[in-house]
Amino acid sequence: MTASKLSTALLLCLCGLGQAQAHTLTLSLDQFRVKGGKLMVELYDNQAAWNEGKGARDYKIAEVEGDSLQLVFDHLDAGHYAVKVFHDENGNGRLDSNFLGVPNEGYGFSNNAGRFGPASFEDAGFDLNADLGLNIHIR
Amino acid sequence: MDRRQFLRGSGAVLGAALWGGVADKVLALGGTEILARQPWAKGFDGVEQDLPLLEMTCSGDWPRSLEGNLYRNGPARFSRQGFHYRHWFDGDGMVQQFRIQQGGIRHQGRFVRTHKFQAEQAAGRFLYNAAGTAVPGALPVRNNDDANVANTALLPRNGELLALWEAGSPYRLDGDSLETLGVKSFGDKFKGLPFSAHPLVDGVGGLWNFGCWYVGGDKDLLLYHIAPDDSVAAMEVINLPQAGYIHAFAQSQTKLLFYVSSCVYEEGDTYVGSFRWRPELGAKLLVIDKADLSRQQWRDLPPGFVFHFGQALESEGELLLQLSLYSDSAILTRGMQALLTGQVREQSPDAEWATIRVGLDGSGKLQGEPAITRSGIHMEFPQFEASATPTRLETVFGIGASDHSASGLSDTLYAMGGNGERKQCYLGPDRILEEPLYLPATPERAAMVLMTWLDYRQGRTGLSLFSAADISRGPIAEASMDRVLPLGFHGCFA
Repeated sequence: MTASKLSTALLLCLCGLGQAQAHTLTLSLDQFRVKGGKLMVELYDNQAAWNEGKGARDYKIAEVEGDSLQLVFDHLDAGHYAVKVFHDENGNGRLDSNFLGVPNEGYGFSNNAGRFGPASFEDAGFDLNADLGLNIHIR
Repeated sequence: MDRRQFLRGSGAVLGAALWGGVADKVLALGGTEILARQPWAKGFDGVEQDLPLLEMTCSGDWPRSLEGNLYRNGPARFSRQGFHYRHWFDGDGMVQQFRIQQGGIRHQGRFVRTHKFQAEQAAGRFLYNAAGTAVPGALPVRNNDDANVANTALLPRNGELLALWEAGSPYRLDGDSLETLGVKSFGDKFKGLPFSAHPLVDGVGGLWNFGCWYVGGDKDLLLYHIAPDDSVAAMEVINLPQAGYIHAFAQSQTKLLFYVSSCVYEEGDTYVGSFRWRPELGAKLLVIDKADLSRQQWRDLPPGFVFHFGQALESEGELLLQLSLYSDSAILTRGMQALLTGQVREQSPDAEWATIRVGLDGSGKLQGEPAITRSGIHMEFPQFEASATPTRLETVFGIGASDHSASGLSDTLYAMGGNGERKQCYLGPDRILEEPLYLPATPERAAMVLMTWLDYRQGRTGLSLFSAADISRGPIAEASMDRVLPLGFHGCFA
């Protein structure tokens, strides 16, 4: 076996190990202003998709029935991710906002990033190298 | 000598006031260690509970025809779980109601149940950053209203009482019970937007108001015309040359007048802490036509800073604007820094009663450069017989601190006549005065001035009623109670 074939074999082996050790991301979401409506949660793994709001790595939709809830994304590869959340409080399928674009419905980001307004992928980003739990306050 | 004679005699001999010392020392209140040293500081201790009904003790000649409610708003809760705010503006708003009825006066106070207040009551601690204080572990905010404490002013409107803040939505209150009814909505498009605490009536059932939007590098003035039915009749977004602190505005017959100060929003830990004094930018006079909000006229002014305005008037070929003018913004910026560091600092410059005049041609265009006339009188919280279409200069009432004020806080009431005549009344060594409200004449009685005060030595809060025609005679009636109310900002009579 040549050196390059050996390297390729090791790489394949490592990748296989990675898949075998897929990680779980558990999100604890709280501070809902209203009960009812749907919580839209999107998981991104790259900045371009984050900026465009399309091409999320995964997403979940949950009914809001209490003050908080947990959601689990599993079988995730190790990597760099960021989470966007919005609470469609009135069930119209979109994030309502005022004429300056400031949301009138709940939203949030991983790391609770975004001081006033949307967070960047960089600010909301986190490394997933093992099973991870994150708390996101809906604002 | 009885009390009234004393008041009259004292008022006649005092000189210029030093209102700047008032807010300066107020703003320097950082922690309980400072509060403990100052006997007058009990006016800023705040309260933790609503204040139940209490009958006041009345003296003097309260007119039987004077019936109604004096409402006042101000910051009233400053600490939770041992954490104390660093700025007077931060406290949760409490509305004080003085009900004047059938010869008696009863007081009650009730916190405005803002989203912030309710969430923090439930949590037992501060959850959100305040305008001037960063709170440890603060929750992220959705929009302006998460920090809204509705603590600045009150406006009777369409059968309700609106509790106003300078950067968020009004809160609706029941004027009898003071119960909070909810957030005032002007429509979904206008939710959560800044809406100043100093709207102006348009004379036909509507309102003019504005809000400053200094987010993400924007330097926008949002200008609203609210219709009688509370819909937004007109909205204009005006891009400002500088993000100057703007607290209030004024109106003449056909124009809205703004003073864009040299204290500009940059970047900081808090909203108030983000303002910096930039004298090199000067200040700007912005004049808007009421009939067409897109028509702007600008004039450069020397550096300055303003919270409150008196009257504006178009008369004899000139546009005139009265204001309480500070030579710099130390009252806001240095005070804020001192609060954040907990350091005591020197006194900042006082607000001087001044008038800006600029020529006006027959078509409403400004002519030439503005001129500023200074009165030499230091006075703030101006009040007068307001009109959407003023036709003459009215007497303006305000307060200031005399040279003899042990606290540095306001102890003197002023009346600045449109003809240049000045009258004043000193209220005593231990009294701190609040904004004097002008009560227009009715068929039953003459015009009056009604104001609240705190006697910090005796721990009493009271009311003084004056004849507007001659405040130098002293109060014609008073009322007081053994209750220390937090000193506040603005009020109304309804």
